[in-house]
Amino acid sequence: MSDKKVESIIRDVFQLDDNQSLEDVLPGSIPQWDSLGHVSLISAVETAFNIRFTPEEIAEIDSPESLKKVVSRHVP
Amino acid sequence: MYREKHPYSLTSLFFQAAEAGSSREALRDEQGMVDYAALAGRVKALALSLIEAGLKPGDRVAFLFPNSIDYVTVHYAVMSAGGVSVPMDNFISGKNLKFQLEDTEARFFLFDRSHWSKLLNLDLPDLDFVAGNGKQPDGEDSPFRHVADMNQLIARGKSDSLPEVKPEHRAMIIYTTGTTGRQKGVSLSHQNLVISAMNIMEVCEVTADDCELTALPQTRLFGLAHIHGYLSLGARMMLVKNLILPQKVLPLIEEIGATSFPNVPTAFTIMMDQYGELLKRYGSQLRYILMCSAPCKPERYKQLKSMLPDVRIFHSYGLTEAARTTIIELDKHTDRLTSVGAPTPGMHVSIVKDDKAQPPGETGEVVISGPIVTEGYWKLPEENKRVFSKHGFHTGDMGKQDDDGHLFLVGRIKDIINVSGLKVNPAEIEDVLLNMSEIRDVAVVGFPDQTGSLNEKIAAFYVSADGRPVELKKIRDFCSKHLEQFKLPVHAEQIDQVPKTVSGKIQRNRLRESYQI
Repeated sequence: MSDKKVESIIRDVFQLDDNQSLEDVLPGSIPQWDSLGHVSLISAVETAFNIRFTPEEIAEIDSPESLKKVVSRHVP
Repeated sequence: MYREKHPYSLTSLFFQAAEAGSSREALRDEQGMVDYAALAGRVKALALSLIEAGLKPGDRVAFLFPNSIDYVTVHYAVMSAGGVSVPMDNFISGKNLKFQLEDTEARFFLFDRSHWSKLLNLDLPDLDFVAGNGKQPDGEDSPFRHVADMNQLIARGKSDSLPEVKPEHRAMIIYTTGTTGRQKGVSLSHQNLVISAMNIMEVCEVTADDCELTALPQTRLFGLAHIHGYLSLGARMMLVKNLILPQKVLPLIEEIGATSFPNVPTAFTIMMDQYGELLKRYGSQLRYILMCSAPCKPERYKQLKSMLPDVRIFHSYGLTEAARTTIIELDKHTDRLTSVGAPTPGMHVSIVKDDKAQPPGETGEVVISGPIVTEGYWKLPEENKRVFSKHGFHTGDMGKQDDDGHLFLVGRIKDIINVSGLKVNPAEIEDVLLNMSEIRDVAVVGFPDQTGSLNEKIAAFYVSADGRPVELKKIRDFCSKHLEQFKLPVHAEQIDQVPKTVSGKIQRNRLRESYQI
């Protein structure tokens, strides 16, 4: 459930089409996912799920998959 | 006079350093490492291959590579062959790539294989020579007749001598992303590049024992000046592609024994806010930090200093047209933390208003002269007439100087908002709004007042600190405590990110184009 929502947020933040696969979307792979984009993404996910990541969790986030994994710890 | 201090081309300085310290490590990237002898060998072999392929002195060579050893190899090979290096931004659009190839009339183009898919199906001008690092599929979609293997060219290792390259020869054309209008190619000589690099090395007291970790885009002069300086001194560098994931980059400081880690203030802000413990742990091993572009906010400098008390912190100001014009060691000037510094050796900064140089304390346009200043924009004589005067190069930045020549930026001339005849500097409002805890970043822009009588009205585009909208009333109430009534925004819009150039300047025109207020 939370995975779909994370994907939707990634698409929103980086303005990607709904049908675009996130498989190859990684930090630096698209112009939007730069340093500021990364911070915007983390912030948008925190707001959407009403959660706050720890510094260790933020350090863990380096891809859509790792983001989903970290979110799943807060939102089962 | 100052030019006599640096009578060498960038390439001759590099080859001298390589000869003096051939077995010393020169560069690392995410794939490997080269010492000076190996790097010099690669540069020379590729330079001779380009000459063999028909490169003549002054020919432009465009190339598209991420931060890497290959990037540096191509850049120095082109200049060593007497050519003009034209680096392209990694996220360049197909349209701009085509434009830069056509505008420079480049006949040579080299690229990293990671960009192959981007190049497919592009309608590019006819090129005499194209090379990629690794085999490229010469399929039907290829825009090129033939793609040479750059690695094979480097491996051939020829022994012919290279042409003489003089300090006054053109070395690079760098396209500015700019805040408005079409891209402009900035033409830079070897002397421009040598002096801008060595000035920074001198002020920051860099020696051959230093090692820099950099994630700065090497297609911009901030990052490039450091490559030029470090490779002229026989020092070490590690290039990483970006700083999106500081948790992967910061530990490299310890791994490679870095003494320097330059970046823009925004990057340090992100690291302090999101990766503070990592920054403290690894950043404290540095000798110095140099920031560039937008001035660092005093409270952010203090925060950084408290996290890294033993690290020297510098800030520099410059444009592609006049890189590293001023510099300040903030730790020694805590009474002028909003300054971007005093002129670097040999450079002169004037504040000009109504064609007259202004005394200290007066505000006007920042005008720069000295050996770092570009000879002009490539093939844009009318633009060159507009930006050069008897005072020097007109930056379009507004500023003032104190009695000691320290420069304080106060905004951009064309950004000034006209509210019923009253002039408003958007930077002043942004400075106030950045003190609101609810706002992480902000850009203030003037829009034509179509229905009212304001002439222009003020809009604030903000990035929320916690993602939640901030009411216009709250913004106006906050501003009213610090600003005159006519400076209060009449519109507030939440955005995900403030559009900025690579060098950190706000692109207000993009907001004007994207929104109808």
